[in-house]
Amino acid sequence: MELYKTQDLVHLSGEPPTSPESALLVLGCPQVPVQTSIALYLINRLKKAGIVPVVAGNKSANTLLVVADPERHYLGEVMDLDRAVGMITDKKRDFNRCFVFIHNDAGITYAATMGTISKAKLFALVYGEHYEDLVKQIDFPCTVIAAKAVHNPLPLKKAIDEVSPWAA
Amino acid sequence: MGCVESMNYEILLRDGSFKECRDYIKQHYKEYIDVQPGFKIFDVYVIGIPPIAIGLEGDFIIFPYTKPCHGTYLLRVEDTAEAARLRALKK
Repeated sequence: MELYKTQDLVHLSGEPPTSPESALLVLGCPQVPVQTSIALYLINRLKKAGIVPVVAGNKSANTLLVVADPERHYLGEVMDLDRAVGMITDKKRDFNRCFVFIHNDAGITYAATMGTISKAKLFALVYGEHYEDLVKQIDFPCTVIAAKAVHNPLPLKKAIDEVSPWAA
Repeated sequence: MGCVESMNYEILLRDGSFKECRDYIKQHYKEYIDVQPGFKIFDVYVIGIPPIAIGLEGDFIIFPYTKPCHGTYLLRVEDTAEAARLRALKK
C-alpha cells in the first residue's frame, strides 16, 4: 500500500502534479431559453477538455440546471452568483476561464465586473433579440462570442464551436 | 448581498441600465467617489462597469445594485458611519 501511495504522488515528468484548469460559468437571468441548453453544452465540452466547470447563477438559473441534470452527469459545483463575486474579490478563489452569459444590461455589468476582479480569460457569450446592441456596449478586454439565439441554441453553439474556448 | 433586503433603502431608479445609474449620480450629487467592481459597501460587493460612482449626500449613500433579472437599481441608504468611511477614502 505504501508503494502505491508513493507512486501516485510522483508525476511522470518528475514534477509535482498540477491542478486541473477551471472555468466559471456566470449565468444571467434564465428568461431566454438558450441559456440552460448552452450552459450544459459548454460544461460538457469543458469537461471533455479536462477543464473543471463551476456554475454561478441566481437561484432560478441554477435550479434549471440542477433539475435538468439530477444525477450530475454534466454539472459539477454550483454556487450562488453573489457568493462567487465575493470569493473572487476577496481572492479566496479564481479560475482560468470565465464565461459570462449576456442577454441584458445586467449581463454586461457582471462581465465587466469579472474582467476587473478575476484573472481569468474572459469570454462574453452574447445572445437574445438585442445581441448586437449589447455587443456594442462591450468596451473591456474579452473574447466576444455572439449570435441571435433566443429559443434555438444552434446559432450560439455554432459561434462557440468556431472559437473553441476550451482549447484557447 | 442578501443584506440589501434588510436595509432601510429608498429606490431612486429601478430596472435601469448601469450607465443610467452612473449618470444619475454624477448629475444629481456634487459629492461622489469612483470605486472599482468588488468594492464593499456595508456587506455588499458592488458590481458594475468601472469606474463605479458612489454618491454621498450627508449621511446618505447612493449606490447601484444589479440583479441579473431586473437590471440595475439605484439605492439610497442612510448610514452615518459608512458615509464617513467612504468620505475618508476621498482624502
